[in-house]
Amino acid sequence: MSMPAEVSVLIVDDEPDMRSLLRLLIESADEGLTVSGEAADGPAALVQWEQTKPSVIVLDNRMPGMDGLDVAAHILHEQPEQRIVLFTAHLDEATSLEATRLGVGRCLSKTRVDEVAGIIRRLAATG
Amino acid sequence: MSLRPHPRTVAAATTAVALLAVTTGLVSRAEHNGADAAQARTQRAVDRLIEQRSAQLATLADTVQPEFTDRHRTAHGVMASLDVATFGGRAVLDSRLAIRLPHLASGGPLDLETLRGEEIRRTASAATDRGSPLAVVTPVTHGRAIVVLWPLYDGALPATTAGRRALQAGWALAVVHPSWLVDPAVQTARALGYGTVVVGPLPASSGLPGTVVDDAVAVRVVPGGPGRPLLGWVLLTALAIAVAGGLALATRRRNERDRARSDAESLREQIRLLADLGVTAQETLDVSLTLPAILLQLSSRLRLDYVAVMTGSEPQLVQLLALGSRPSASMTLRFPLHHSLRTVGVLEISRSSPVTTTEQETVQAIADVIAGSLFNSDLFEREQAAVQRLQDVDRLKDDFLGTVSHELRTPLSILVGYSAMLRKRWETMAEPDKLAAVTTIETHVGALTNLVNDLLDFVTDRNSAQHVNLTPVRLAVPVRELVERYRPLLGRHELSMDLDEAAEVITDARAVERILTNLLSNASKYSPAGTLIALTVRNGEEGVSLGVRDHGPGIADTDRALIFERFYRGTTDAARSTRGTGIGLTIVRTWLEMVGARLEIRSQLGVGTHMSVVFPRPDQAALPEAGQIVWREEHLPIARGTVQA
Repeated sequence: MSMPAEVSVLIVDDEPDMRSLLRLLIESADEGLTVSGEAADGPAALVQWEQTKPSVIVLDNRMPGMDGLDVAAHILHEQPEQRIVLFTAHLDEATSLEATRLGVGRCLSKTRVDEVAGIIRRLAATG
Repeated sequence: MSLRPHPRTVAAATTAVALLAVTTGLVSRAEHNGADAAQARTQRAVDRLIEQRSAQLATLADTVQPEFTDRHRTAHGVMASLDVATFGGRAVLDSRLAIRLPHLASGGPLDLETLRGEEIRRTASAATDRGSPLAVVTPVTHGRAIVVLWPLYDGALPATTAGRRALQAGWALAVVHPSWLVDPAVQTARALGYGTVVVGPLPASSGLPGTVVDDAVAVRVVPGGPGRPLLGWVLLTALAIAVAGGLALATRRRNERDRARSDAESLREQIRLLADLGVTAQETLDVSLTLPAILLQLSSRLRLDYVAVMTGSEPQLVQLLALGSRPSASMTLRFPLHHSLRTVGVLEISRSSPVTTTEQETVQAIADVIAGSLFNSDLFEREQAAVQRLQDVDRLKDDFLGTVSHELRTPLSILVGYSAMLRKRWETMAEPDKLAAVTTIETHVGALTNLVNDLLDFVTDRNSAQHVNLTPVRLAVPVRELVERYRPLLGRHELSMDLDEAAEVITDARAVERILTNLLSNASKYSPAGTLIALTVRNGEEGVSLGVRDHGPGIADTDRALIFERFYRGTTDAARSTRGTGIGLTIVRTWLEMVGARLEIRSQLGVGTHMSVVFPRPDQAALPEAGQIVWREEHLPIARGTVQA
């Protein structure tokens, strides 16, 4: 398996402490991961995505206004090969099915946040 | 041939005959005396008799009127209904006639010598041209005649043009049966030896009431020359009776057949109308669709000038729908809308022509259909509302479960993540980073604690009232302690405190905790990071207030009535973008009620919100507006106090 030299990650979550935690976990993983940007809501995420063109997006689902699936639908419509981890506190079957239908690469429950770095790396390595 | 006169006709005839007979006797005596005084007495007696009968006559006229009008409606005017037959120089006439004697106008005695055979026809023809009714004349023999008529007051406006013209011209309308009038009158007259019965106008001095008087005539028998032998007269009369009876019977049968046919057609029409409206009413439960259709059909089929449906009961009737403009109340007919033993409204109609009894029965049946529709529609709407409420509650419950799940898992996942990171990298992490991680953990533990408390309160608050433990509390003490414990709830806000240390209240310690943590949590969630949250305890005239003032967006007017409803989370952008379960203020209100405190709210959009809980002091019996939430339209107090580190 070839490993990309550098994997840039965009963090999207409306909870500041969760963003801080994700950044800490990603940056300290020592697996060639960097954080290219953070966004607290959907519209800001789209702006960051346009500007930074990250390898992977860690995307919270439940956000005020535009939720994670809305953001994913928009991005995947523009760029179907974009890798996205849907990162959600409440992962139910309907959400998983909808994410798969849209082409989201991976869903992760927030209670397994400590696995996030490994998952990003594996997702970036696919295809 | 058997003759079975109509009962009403019998009544009329009996009245007439009685009057004739008595009058004859009276007049006879007066003539024997040959004195004017006797004549005057006779006239008075006649007047009295007429007076006695006038009420009966009016009643009779009312009852026979429908027959009269029915008859004329199907024929071509008054004359067409008049059958004149001549048998051996005798003319007999139909049973129902409109009568006028042209001679009455002049006031002179009627000379019937001229009214015979062809002359009757000529007179009838002339009367037709004038649109007037006709005299009834039965010439018995040449030179001798008996005129029989009985005037009746026609209580309502005649239905035919000819009838109305006649009334306008002062004609009396009469309903008589010739067989019953001719025979006894002739017999009586002949038995007494008088040859002529003369009809003249009623004297103005008779003093009889109403229109009956105006159109009434007196009947007199005057002495004539000796008639033919009685037997001959009797035979002739019998013949006349037989002929008249036969004709009358045939006419009645034909009339009855016509009427039955007309009634059957009318009934079929009414049944068709009812069936159509029944179908319309069944089409949908939405009365706003069926009612206009029902009223339109009703109005067009019965040619109504006005129809309206009103709901409620007198005097609070509310018009639902009306077609046509409403005439005065006296011109309308009202039909109650009954359903399930109660009146739900009124159906009101109006038509220039009279509404028949059958039509009225139909309209009442339609009123019942409408009442059923209204009742069902009302029931349907209530069912719909109940279903809607249940759906709303179900949706709120789903939202709530989703929210609670999210609100619990977010801090939990942060706790998991930070503790995992601390454990793995404890050796390599810088001390400030460790401290920051622990502080974050504390913040989210605080948020979790508050959320769990909220949920427990929410589940148990309905049963907690009996366990309230009201004791004197120096308010600043628990407030300071709670602020210390729940400091993480305030996140990145500044906090100032201005506490009256001496202020004492009577309350339950749990109420202070639950109310304060929810108010602080809201102030923190709904105002931008870095802004000031001011906490105060003040001793006022009405009690001791615990105030939390934020510098958030304020509460929209539309949200005021709703923010204390469970699960409601506001409509402003700030409210929508903020996390929460929507039960915090519901819990605050429950505790207010339990400890008899009052919440005063001052809020200005774009400026902030000040929530102030007023607790009763130990020396106060009860607080005004205890348990209430009071919105104050006042400017927000300036935040004062020492900013806490």
